[in-house]
Amino acid sequence: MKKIITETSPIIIISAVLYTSPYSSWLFVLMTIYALLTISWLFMRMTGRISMGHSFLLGFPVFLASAGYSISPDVSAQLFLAGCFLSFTIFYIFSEFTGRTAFVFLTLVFSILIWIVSPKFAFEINGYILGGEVGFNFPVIPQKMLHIIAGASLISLFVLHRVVESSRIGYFMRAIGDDETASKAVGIDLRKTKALSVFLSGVSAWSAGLIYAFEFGHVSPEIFSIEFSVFPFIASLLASGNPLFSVFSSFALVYLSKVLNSFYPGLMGIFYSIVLILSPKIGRWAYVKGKRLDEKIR
Amino acid sequence: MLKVSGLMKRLDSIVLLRDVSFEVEKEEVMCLYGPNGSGKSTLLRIIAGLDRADEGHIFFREREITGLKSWEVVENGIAYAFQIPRPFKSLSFHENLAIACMRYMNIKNAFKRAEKTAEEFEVSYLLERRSDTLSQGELKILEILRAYLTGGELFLLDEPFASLDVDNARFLKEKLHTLREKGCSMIITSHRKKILEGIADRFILLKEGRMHAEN
Repeated sequence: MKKIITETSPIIIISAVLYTSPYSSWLFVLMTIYALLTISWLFMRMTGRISMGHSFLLGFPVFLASAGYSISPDVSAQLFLAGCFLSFTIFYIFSEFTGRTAFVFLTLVFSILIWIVSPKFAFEINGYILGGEVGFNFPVIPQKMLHIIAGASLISLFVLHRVVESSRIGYFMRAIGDDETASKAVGIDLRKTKALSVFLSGVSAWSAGLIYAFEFGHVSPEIFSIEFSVFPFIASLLASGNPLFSVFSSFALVYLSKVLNSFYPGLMGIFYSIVLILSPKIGRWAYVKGKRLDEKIR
Repeated sequence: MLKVSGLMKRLDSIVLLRDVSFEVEKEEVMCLYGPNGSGKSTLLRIIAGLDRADEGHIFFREREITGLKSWEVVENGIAYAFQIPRPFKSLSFHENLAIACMRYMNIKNAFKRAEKTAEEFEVSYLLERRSDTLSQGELKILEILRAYLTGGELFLLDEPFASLDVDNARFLKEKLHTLREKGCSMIITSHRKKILEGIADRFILLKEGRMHAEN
């Protein structure tokens, strides 16, 4: 409990400091969206599944919801739930029927495919063509309220991650992450545990997606962009997989992208590419540092 | 307790197991010996639910367990220890043992039970060590204790003495004696029959997937 309070304090302080101006509040909500996406990724990582297609989990339900909002709020809510169910099912099937390496590539290819196909999704209402590359509108909520909702969601899901990690089911997930065959031999139900891991990952990604839609008041096919897919991997890599540091590295990366892209648009993309190319070396270095730090904390 | 009848396993055109049938009684220790590739590991993996047989039936406590998922086999009371130890590398020795009990008890009690078992088997000094820092002999102990802590009644130990030096083999043999004294039923595979003399009640030779002799 003490550890959780110590860990959440800096997030609360950052949230309070950035609450002061409309721009900083907007930036905080944006950082929160990415941090939630990273937490979502970490839930799946616990069972040893490295997703490179998290943009699908983030964007699919809210993309459908925004399309439904063009018809009515009720349809929007129903399509959001259907999107949650479908994205959960697809990721669960991927995690159940593919090996670890295949999972990485399958999720990446799948999310890119959705990114390519989604602009083709358009329909006509009252003579207006909706969707396509422009996307769909979504209601906005006042910035201050959204700031509080985003902060509360981040803290709740971070605490949930910490609680799950040290629980019985968390141990099962980590065991599966280490060795699936050995987990079976000690009686761990792989199907249930993997399903729970995907579901928890989904809850975090779906929350991030909703906050994204409320923040921008609009959802376009860009929500399936490769940036969203690789972001949690990079944030987690730079934080050596530690959940708290992953939240901070997500914050830092969002800020860095604002700075770099203001110098030259697309500069952040080059930064991501460099990190991905160097990821085996960075990963090893961060793992050793993270392990030492973890041992010190313990 | 365990009844295996008419087990067959093929891999393409190669027959790994041919009409294997045997029974294991309660508190009995059976040694399955034979050369490399004779089908010993395949047989244990099939009983443990880690592999599927093409034909035949397996009954445990008069209930058919053929084709069950491995975690369902564990729930039924059969535990399996791998020939090449497969520890959960990111976890400590203590956590590795505790995970095996978490299926049927809460986390706090699981850690207590793991600690108690480590004391009983005189390996408490390993509790805080990360499993990726353990020696081969220590990993074998971890593998067997983890299987023991799943709460099973029948233990399938695949080549526990393989790749162990004399001291570690002696140490492991003592631990198997302890398990035997606790009344555990076991099927232990080995290349050599001699190493299990004094532990096993019965020896079965498996050669080219066929049971050849029983004494």
